[in-house]
Amino acid sequence: MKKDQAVFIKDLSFAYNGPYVLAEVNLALEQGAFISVVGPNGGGKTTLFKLILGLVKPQKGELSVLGRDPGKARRLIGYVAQYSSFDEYFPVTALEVVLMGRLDSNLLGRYGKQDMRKAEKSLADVGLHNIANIPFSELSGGQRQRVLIARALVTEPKLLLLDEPTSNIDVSVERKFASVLEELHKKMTIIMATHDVGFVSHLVKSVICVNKTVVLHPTSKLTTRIIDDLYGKKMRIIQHDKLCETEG
Amino acid sequence: MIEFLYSLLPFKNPLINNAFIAGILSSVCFGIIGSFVVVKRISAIAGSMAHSSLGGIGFALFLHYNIAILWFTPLIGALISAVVSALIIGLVNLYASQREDTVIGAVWAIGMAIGLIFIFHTKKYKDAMSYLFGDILFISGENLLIIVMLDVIVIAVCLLFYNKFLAVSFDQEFAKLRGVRVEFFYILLLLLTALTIVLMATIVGILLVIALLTLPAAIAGLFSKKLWQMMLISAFLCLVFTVTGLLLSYAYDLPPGAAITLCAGGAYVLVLLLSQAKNKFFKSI
Repeated sequence: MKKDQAVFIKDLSFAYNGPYVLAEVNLALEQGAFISVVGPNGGGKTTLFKLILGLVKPQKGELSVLGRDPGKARRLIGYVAQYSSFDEYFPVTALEVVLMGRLDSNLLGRYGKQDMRKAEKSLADVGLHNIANIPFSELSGGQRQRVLIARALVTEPKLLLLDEPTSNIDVSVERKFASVLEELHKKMTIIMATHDVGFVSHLVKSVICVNKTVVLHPTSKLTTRIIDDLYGKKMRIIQHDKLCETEG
Repeated sequence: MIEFLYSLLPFKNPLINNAFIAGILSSVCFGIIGSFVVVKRISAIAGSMAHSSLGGIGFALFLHYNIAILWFTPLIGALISAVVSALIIGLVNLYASQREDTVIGAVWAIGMAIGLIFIFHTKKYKDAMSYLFGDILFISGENLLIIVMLDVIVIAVCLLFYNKFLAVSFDQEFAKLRGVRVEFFYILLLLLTALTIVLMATIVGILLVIALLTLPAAIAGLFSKKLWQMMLISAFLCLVFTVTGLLLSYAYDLPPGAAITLCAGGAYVLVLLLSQAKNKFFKSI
């Protein structure tokens, strides 16, 4: 276990109830890095995140997060899941959702004035200061996603895990989101799973390719061939052109 | 205390008075727990707990009439079996990875079967109807006291852990990542639901209680921005339906459980129709 590493994985294999989803994974990510995770659906991106969060345990190998056991590092991680199973009509406001990130600030889960201030600030950070009291169910897909990111930020994490955060966001919002990430990157390590690295290509230093195995590429060395190998077929080049031009 | 409440009510018959008091007192619990049941989508679990409580009721009647153990009342029997069902369903869901709806159905039917067997072998007493559909004759002063105690427990626990319950109901995985013991709160919520169901099952019966738990909350959900607003509105609606239903049953000689359920059901259908009509109207202009 190394203290200065955000994530350290050695010879890790994991299966749910069948064949290995991830096999023989070795990975070391420095703190302060901005890392993109790419790979086909079902390739194990979300599973890698769940391992880092300590929500599932590997059958083989070692794993430490921020120099700790994954379960113990959990409170230092801000996580935005790809799919969330909310009740569509759940009566809860955007601000209340963000406040859930402050649940562990005391034993009973009561929110103080400071928690309120931090929640309002996180909402402002993702450009949503004016919708604090709107019900979550009335927000657009992109707004909901940003509320969930604000909820992850209000936990004041050292490591931010984003699982396909842009899948519901349109291009104009994506640009705003990129500048939000740029600001956050000054303060924390960011690991983001995505199909489209393009919009943050100037920030991303390394790309992890996950498809049962995990391979780390500096962005400068990432070519279309690697991506083709990874996805097992020709990708539309438009989706990755920015990435491939980028000098890391 | 109870004499004071009696003096506020217009009825001479203490049994009818008890029914009104029980309805008014339980409404608060029903508003709170009903809202959780609706947003967490566990009404099938609640239904299963309600129906399977016949097992405990049957056992209590058997003890009462055959062995003359009088302290073990049907209310206590119902409480115990609802709590046992809650634990079985909750623990199986959390740890055994079985199909949830199968487990719910099994507990539902097994509980009722146990109840039927006990009632069948209970001397002199062969009628399960009044437990299935409720009977205000069951509400003694003693039972009112139990209702008050359960009321206090449910309200205190829910107020104390409101934020945690809200987070667990909204997004269990995230709550877990924030260090909330989600398994504990899930089981606790099921237990509180079990207690609440038994409170009202004495009046409206174990078959109809689920309507009174979910319909006021479902209506309230249409008008609420926050969960606590949903709870307040739903508690108020529950009170209105119970009182209206009891008045109708008193005036027109109807079974109270059915009258209360139809008040809630009628209001629910009406509100749904109105909100559909409103949507159509706004689309057309």
